Amino acid sequence: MKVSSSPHVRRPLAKQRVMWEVVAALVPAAIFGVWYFGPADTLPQLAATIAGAVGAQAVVEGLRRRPITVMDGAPWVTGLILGMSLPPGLNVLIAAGGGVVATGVLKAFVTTSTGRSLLNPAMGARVLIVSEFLIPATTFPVDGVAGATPLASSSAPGYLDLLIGRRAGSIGETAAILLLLGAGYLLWRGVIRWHLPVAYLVGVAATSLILGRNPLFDLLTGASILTAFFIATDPTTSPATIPGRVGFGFGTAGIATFIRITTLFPTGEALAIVVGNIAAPFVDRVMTNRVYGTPKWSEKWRERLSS
Amino acid sequence: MQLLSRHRHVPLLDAHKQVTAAAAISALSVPEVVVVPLRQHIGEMCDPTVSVGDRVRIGDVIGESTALVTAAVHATVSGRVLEVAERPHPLGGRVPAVVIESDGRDEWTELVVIPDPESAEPDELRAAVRRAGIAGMAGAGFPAAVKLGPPREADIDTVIINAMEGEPYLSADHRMALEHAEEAVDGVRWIMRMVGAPRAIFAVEGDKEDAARSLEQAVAAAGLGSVLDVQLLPRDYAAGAEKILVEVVLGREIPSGGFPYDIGVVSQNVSTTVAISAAVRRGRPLIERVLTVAGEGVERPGNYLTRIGTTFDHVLEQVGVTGDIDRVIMGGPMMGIAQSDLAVPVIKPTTGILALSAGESRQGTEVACIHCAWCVEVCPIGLMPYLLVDLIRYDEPLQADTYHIFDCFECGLCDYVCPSNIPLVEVIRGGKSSIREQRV
Repeated sequence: MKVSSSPHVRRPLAKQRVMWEVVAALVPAAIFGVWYFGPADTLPQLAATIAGAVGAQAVVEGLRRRPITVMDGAPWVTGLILGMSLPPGLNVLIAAGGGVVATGVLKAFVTTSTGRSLLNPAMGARVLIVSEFLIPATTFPVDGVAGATPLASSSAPGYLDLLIGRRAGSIGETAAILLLLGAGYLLWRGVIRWHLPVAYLVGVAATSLILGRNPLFDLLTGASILTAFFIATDPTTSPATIPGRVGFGFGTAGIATFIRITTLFPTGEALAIVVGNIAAPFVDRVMTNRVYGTPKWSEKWRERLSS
Repeated sequence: MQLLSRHRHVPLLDAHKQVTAAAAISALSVPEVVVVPLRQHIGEMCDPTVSVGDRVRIGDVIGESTALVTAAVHATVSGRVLEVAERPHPLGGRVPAVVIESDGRDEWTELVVIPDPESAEPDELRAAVRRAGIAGMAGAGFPAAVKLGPPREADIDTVIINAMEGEPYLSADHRMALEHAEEAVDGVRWIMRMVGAPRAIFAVEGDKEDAARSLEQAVAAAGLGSVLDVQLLPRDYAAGAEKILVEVVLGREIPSGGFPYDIGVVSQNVSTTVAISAAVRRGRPLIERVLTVAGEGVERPGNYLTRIGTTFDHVLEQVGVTGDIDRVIMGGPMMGIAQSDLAVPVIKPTTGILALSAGESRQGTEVACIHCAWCVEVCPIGLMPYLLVDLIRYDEPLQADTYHIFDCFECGLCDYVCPSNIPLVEVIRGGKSSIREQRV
C-alpha cells in the first residue's frame, strides 16, 4: 500500500488542450491577415516563426535530455503570436531566427530564480527583432506599398476598417473583431480570466485620453487587442493574483500606449510586456489577494486615514 | 472596488458518490476484539481507567482526563480488557489503547440520563455531552462539549449544522441527515440551548436534495420552522470547511487565528448533532458511528454503522476487497490520511475508509511549475500556494509566514488542480512544521 500525502486524487488533466485552444482562438485573425496582406508576404513568415519556435524547443529539450513537450502546444502559440506580431513581408530568416530565439534561448534559459521563464518568449524575441532590424521590422506595407502603421500615418482609416482589420499593421494584429471573437472563446472556455485584459484595455484608453487622443482609435489600432487578450495573459510571465493582474494589465498598457504614441517605436506593446514580465515576480509578492479573515482593503484604508 | 475583493473559482470535484449516496445505513458486524485508542480527538490524551482483566460493558468509561479540551472514551463492546498498550493509530504513530475482547453479549452499562432535559440548565446539557465523549465526527475530532461552551462574552446568534460533506466518495453525513433527520433536529435544539443562539441553519450541499427535504420535514414536524432553516447550497467542496461555510452562509469571516464564536457562530457536523441528541435524551456515549466504505477496491461499498475500535482489517474483510489496492485512506480523498497498517482502528472522526485502486488515485511524478496560477484561483482563502512552495523550497521558509501559511487548512484544492503534479499540500505542511521548529 502506498503512503502518500493528501490529496489522493487529482483533477483529470486538461492542460494539454489549453494551449491548442489558444491556437484555435488566434487562427481566424491570422487567416484574415494572410488573406488581407497576401499569402506571399505572410505565410512564409508565420511558418518560419512557428517552425523556429517548435524546432528550437525540441532541440533544446533533446540536448538537455528532457522530455520533448512541444506537442503540448505552447511553442506553437509562441511561434504563432510572434509571427502575427511581425509586419508582412519581413525577411523569412529574421522571422525564423526570432522563433528560435523565443523558445531556444528566452523560454529555456532566461528564467527566474525558481526556474520559470521570466519573459514572454514571443515578445522578448519581438523586442530583439525590432532592436536588431529596426527598419524592416517596423515598416508595414499595405497593398505592396511600404508605409507606417495608422498610428504613424496621417490619413487614418475609418472605424469599420479598423474593426474588420483593413489597415496597415502586423500580420495578425489588425482583425479586431476576429481577435475579440477568439478572446471571447478563451474567456468562455476559462483559458483566460477577464481581469487582466480589461485592465489592459482600460489602461490603453486612459493613457490615450491623458495624451489628448481618441481612446477608441488607440484601442483598435496597434496591437492593443492582441496584446490584451493573447499576450499579456500568458500565465507564466504575468502575475498570479487578481490585484496583480489588474496592476500588470493597467501598467503595461500605459507603457505600451505611451511608447506607441510618443516615440517612433510603433510596437511599444512588446517592450511594455517585457518590462511587465520583469516586474511580475515582484508584483506577485506585493499585490497579493486579500486573505480570508484579514482586514478588507477598505478597512485598512479607513484605518490608515483615521490614524 | 469589486476587483479587489475576495475572488475564487470553485472547481467541481468528481463526486464518486453514485453508489454510496443511495446505500442505506447498515450495521457492520461487531468484531471479536476492539482497539479503543485513548486519544481520538484534538486535545489531551485520556488516562486509562481500567486494567488488564477487567470486565467492561458497553458505555463504561475506559479512559478520561481532567483536562478541559479532551473527550472521554468508552468501552464499545462488552467483555474483558485484554491489554492496555500502544497500538498503531490512524492519525499516525502509536497511541495507547484499550484492547477489549468481546463476550458477544453486547451488554450495556447503566447510563446516566438527565431526568428532564427540557428544563435542564445549559451546564447540565454540556456535562451530558462531555460524559458521552463526543468529539467532532467530521474528521477533525474537536471535543464537542468545549465547542458548545463558548466564552461568556461571545454573543452567539447562529448555529450552523454542517451537512455539506463535499469530500468525494463520502456519504455518511448524507445518509445520517436523510435517515436520522428527527434526531438531527432534536440535537440542534440542545445545541441552541447550550450556546444561547436564537436560530440555526442546516447547510446542505446541493447534490443532497433528498437529505435537505428530509431535514425540512423534520423541522416542520417539530414545529421549529421559525428558528430552524434548511439551506441547500451550491456544490462547493471547500464550503464544507467551517471557515468557508460561515462565509457562504452568513457572509462573515472568522478572523485570522480566531474562532467561530468571535463572529457569533457555533457550528457542528450533522452526525455529531445526532450523537448530541442521543447523549442528552438517552445519556448514550459515542461508541459507534456511521462511516462510508468505498473505492474501487471495495466489493460492497456502503455506509456502515461501525463500533469505535473496529480495526480497518475487520471492516475491509466484512465489505470484501477486490483487485489491487493502491492505498487505503481514512477520511476523504482530499484531506484523508493514507494508512500503512490496517491494524489501525476506527475512531470517532473516521468519516470513511477508502480503498482506492491505482486508476482512481493520484499517480505520476512532479514536473516544473509553469505559474499557471490555478492554485491561486482555487484557494478558498486567497493564498498563493505556488509562492508558499517556492519560499519553502528555494528561499526562507520563515517568509511563508508573512504570506499567511498558517491560515491554510490543507483542503487540497491547489494540489488537486495543479497541472504539474506538485505536492503542494505536502510541501506546505512540511513548511508549517519547519517554521514551528525554527520558532521554538
